[in-house]
Amino acid sequence: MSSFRTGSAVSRASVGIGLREQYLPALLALRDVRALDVLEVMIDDALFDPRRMDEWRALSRKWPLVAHGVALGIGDACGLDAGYVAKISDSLRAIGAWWYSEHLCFLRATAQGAARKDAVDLGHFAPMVLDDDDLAVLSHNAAQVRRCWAGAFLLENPADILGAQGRGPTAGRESGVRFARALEAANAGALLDLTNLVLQGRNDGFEPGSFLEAVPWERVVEVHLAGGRRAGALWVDSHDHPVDEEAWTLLSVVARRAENLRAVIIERDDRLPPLDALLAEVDRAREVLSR
Amino acid sequence: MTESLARQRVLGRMLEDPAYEARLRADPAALAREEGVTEGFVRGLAAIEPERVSAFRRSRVHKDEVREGKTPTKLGW
Repeated sequence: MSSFRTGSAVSRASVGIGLREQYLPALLALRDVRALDVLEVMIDDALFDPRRMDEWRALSRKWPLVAHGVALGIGDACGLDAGYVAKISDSLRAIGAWWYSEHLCFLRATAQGAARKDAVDLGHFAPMVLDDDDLAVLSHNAAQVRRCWAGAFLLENPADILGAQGRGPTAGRESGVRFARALEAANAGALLDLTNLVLQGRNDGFEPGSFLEAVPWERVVEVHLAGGRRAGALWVDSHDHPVDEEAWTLLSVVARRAENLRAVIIERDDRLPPLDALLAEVDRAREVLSR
Repeated sequence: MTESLARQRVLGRMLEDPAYEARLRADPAALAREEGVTEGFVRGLAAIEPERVSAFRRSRVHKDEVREGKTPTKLGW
């Protein structure tokens, strides 16, 4: 698969963490750079606070950076914000990001006859149907991203708390098939969020492995691992607990089958533990990958 | 892409506006005609349990707060 290049300096299956501001001092002071192989930055942060770019450049002298976004809305049928795409692309180049990943979802909706500038921002990842009409949207929008960003572009399977992708034992495989079609339409690599998959399976009654059976392994470049929590009858992708044990099991499956896997990232967004706790999870991921 | 635009408008309004959600659940066929989407699509949305829609809204608010620094996060438990 030659259409999504990854940075050649990323060693096979590097392991790192998602950078959060609270960890910055500890990371800059960390003497043993081998404790991490790679860092993932939230590229949208650069648009809100330009100081981030200086911090990230400092970090990039210690570790390679990959970039993750939350505000693109690759599935928005009302189109992308050209100015946003241009700014994100400038930021990606400025920090030498080896790839750019986003969520397979839509984020904005317009009223009948309204222009894109008047779209309602849902502020959270909303599921797509992923039929031919949606795939045409993905293809169109991904092409717009590529005109600004020549590096690799990955799409992540997002958490779908609505269960709109289907329920029951066959829902996993059906979701996996739609995910594969979406990657093809966007000509994108895959960022597999294994925790999203585990929680989706619990909420919607399918085995996560059935989703993976439909994934085009040659496109899998990155994995996200996190921990969710139970809220009432549902599991929520809260990123506020250690990595779910079932996600660790899936990582061993992915490690065996995804020959182009380049990075595994531990994510934490809330109830942040000391950096050492995340570094222990980095070590565990390395151990799983080395089996 | 017109179909996608219309579907996203309907799902977006359902997630944003509880009164619209109630109308969608009460009469999916009428809402489908009004919005120019298939009745099957709207019936699929109507089948989503209200607690899942509430969870979506809560998750959105929570993530907004974390990202805006309103929810305390600190080193150490």
